[in-house]
Amino acid sequence: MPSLKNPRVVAFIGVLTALCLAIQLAPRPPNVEFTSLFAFAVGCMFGIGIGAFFGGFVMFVNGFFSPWGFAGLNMPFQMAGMALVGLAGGIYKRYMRVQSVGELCAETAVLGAVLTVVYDLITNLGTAFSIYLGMPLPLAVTTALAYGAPFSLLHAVSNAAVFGVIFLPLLRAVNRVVPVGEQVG
Amino acid sequence: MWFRWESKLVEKRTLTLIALTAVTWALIATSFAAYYYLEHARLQGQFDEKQGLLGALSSNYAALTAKSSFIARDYNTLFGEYQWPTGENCSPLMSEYQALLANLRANYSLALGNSPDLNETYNSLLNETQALANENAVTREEFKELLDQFYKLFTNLVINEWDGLLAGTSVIHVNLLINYSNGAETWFNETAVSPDATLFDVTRQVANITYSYLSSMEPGHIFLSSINGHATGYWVWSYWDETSAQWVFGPVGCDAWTLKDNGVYEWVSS
Repeated sequence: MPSLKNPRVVAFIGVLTALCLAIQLAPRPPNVEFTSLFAFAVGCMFGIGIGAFFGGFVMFVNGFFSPWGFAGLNMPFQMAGMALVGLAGGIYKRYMRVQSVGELCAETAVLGAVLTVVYDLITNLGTAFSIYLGMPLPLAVTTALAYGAPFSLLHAVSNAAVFGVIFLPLLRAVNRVVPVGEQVG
Repeated sequence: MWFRWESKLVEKRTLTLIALTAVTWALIATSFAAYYYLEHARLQGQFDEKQGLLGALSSNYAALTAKSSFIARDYNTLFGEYQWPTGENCSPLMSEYQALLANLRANYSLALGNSPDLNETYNSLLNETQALANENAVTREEFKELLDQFYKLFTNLVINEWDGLLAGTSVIHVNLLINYSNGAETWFNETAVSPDATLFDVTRQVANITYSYLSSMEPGHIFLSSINGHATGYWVWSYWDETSAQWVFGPVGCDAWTLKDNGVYEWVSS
């Protein structure tokens, strides 16, 4: 595990955070994003704590400056959801093993889709609390989940592709800059 | 036991991934099912509402047509009698004309009650008719003028009732600015009105007004005296012309200016 006492590691995480925020705040199609990938990758490279913090922090800043407007009451849910993705990256590192490139890509693609759906589930709960206030809670949650379904589908498919295609090259590239573990794939 | 046997064929890791994929699919599919259910319920509600409106339209159609046909028939009869060469004095026709006017009031009392401007026109015509009826002779020109005024009022009332009938089927939204010219102004944005509403209607809807009826002013007879108690000077209106991006002075009385969807209007105290 790379140490946070290593200035290269700290600088690298700073750069990654800036890059992630720049992408997050740039105009883009709704629900096509790279933050989940970065949070997962940071968790995978630097451990559960840093991964969770990274995810939560990026969503905190994004909540204020997002091109889709201030996140409001949904912000804690977005932070929790993305922290969970970073945390999952840290857990995944423990179960990662040497396997073929195809297997790894398929595995991360599935994980990307699963984590995205879980993230959307959490943020849709936030939407239920923030937008459908005044409705009975079960109805508010059902409505938020239902009307979020088309976006969730797009989000899950795009993230499956992003995780499946980019995760491994990203890990390899990072390994060259900051050695974070044994070479995979 | 079976799991151990299965895991010999398929790895536990692979099974976990398959299970996660299935859960993901199930969550998205369930959400979509809920989405379609809610959308179906919403569209069904809209459909039922439109169906109800259509039912109301068709049931009222016959009543409105019968009413307007009845008045039109009497009017045409009287007009025919007027056209027949009976001399210069039309006094004998005045009693029929008064009966026609009374029938108009009886049949269109609702429209007259809802439209102060039309009600004023009716009362003005009634007064004029009574004044002429008291005279010994009514010239053909005077009677023709009465017939014309009646026909115009009758047409407006029929249009008003039809519009009222159709008003429930859709609404438009307009933005109205009331500028008191003392630094105070009030916006009434996205005000929902029926498509046939006039500027007078929407102003009455959002503010307390007093007005004068000027029979000589056409088109539109209404002249606003005060809005929300503000009666300094007089009130003029303008509309926002999107093409030239400027306010354009209202060319007619406010009761003769129908509104357009997303139109922007202004009252200014001068």
